[in-house]
Amino acid sequence: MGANRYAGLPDAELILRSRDEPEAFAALYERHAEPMLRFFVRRTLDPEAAVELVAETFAQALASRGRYRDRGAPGAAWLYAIARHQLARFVRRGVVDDRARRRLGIPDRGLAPDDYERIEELIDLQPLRTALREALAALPEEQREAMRLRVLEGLGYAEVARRLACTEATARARVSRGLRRLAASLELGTEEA
Amino acid sequence: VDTEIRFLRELREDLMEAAWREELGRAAGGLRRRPPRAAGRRGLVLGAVALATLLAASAAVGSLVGLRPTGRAPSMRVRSLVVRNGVEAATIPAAAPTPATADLAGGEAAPADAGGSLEKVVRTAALAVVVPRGSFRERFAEAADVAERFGGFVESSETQGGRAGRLVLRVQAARFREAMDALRSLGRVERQSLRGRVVTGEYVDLRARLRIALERRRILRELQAKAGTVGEVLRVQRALDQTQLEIEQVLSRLRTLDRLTEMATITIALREEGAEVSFTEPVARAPSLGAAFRHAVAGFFRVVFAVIVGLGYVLPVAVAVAVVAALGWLVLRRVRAPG
Repeated sequence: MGANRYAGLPDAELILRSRDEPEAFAALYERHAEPMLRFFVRRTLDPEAAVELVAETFAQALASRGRYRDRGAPGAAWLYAIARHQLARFVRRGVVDDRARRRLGIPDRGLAPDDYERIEELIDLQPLRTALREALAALPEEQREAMRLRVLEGLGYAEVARRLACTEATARARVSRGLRRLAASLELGTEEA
Repeated sequence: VDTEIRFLRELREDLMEAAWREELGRAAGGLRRRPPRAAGRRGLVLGAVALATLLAASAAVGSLVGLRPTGRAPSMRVRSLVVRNGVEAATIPAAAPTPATADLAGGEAAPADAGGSLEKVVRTAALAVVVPRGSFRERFAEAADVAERFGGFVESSETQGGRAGRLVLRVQAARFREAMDALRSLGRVERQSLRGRVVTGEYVDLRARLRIALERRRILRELQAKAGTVGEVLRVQRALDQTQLEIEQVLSRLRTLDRLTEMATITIALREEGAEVSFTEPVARAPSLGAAFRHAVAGFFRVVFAVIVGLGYVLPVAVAVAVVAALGWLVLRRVRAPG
């Protein structure tokens, strides 16, 4: 793995080297992919949108790395500037941009069921629980119950589905919709990183 | 990627593949291979719209600047000129002598050679003349006399309210210019147009067809004399009939061309000073599909002409605007781009 070769290099150097060395971009990605996913998922509360935003941000970074100029600021700032730009577009338009991915020929990949739970674990709902209790009251009954079981009681989707007498996919959809409404009501998308 | 999230692992592979593809593309030919994308299609549509706008603007400008073509396709070999306010811009050569087709009417004589310098031109002219008050009747009669003076006749005439009228005159083509001078001298020339339609090519073709048809008829007559059976006689007779019909059609057209080229047509509209009558109407003609087609072709060439002229005006401005817009876009992109 070429990542070790780049382990000690700062982000700015990785971005500059990635113009001629694809492995340098891989190192940058490995360093920032999961933190960035956390960044997005905490602001959207939507696992699907969050992974798409990560994919589009890195695709945009890959496509525009040739225009990057090292002006002394950390390379991560450049990367997160792209991320915030993508997030703002998502909040404004309700859909994740896909221009960079299409330009690079990156295929659309669905989110595996296991990934949902792992990504939701990144949300760290603890600070939101108070706000959640109030916001939950405004949700439709079925979403509220799904959210209560999944978010407040921390049950897995299999158990949530069993208690609600529905499939796991339905349970996930109810939680996902509830989180999206919650995010909108809490205006998480407009917060700074 | 050190993560349990499968999506992130797969995304890493996708990004690496894209990066390597780009790298290999650069190494292969310095060209970046880009997969099809919506932005490309959008660019194509925008480009088409821009091109269409440019052409439309060019056509509009071209027609506005007043550089209008003659209105006919160049290949139609039509000489035309319009003279306004009595100032003649060009002249048409005097009528060429017209060999009569009488030698062909009998059908046996070989036609005369119509090539070389012989030119067959159908001449038409229209002019509008304003005469002093109270002189309309006298001048109208003088105009009618012109036809007879120059070996022709009055084809039609009409008057309107005793102060205006129009005559269609036929005069000998050889004396066309003298007749026009005489008509111009009747008053102040308000509008004048001359047209010469060259029909030499058609004339030569017709004579060639006639020569071939006559030869065929001669051979068929010989065959008819030698025919041994009723069936042979009938077959030869049928071929003879067809050939005879063709000979008559060609002769008829040749005579028409002779008549048209021997006699020029002049339409003159006269009106007294102050009389509210329009002289601009052309001689009435029956509408025909051929005329419609000719108009369509002429219109097409007019539009092409206008677009070419307009492009000359619009293109430098369009290029300047495009350069400024491209620079603005680049600056904007740089300002907006993170980092």
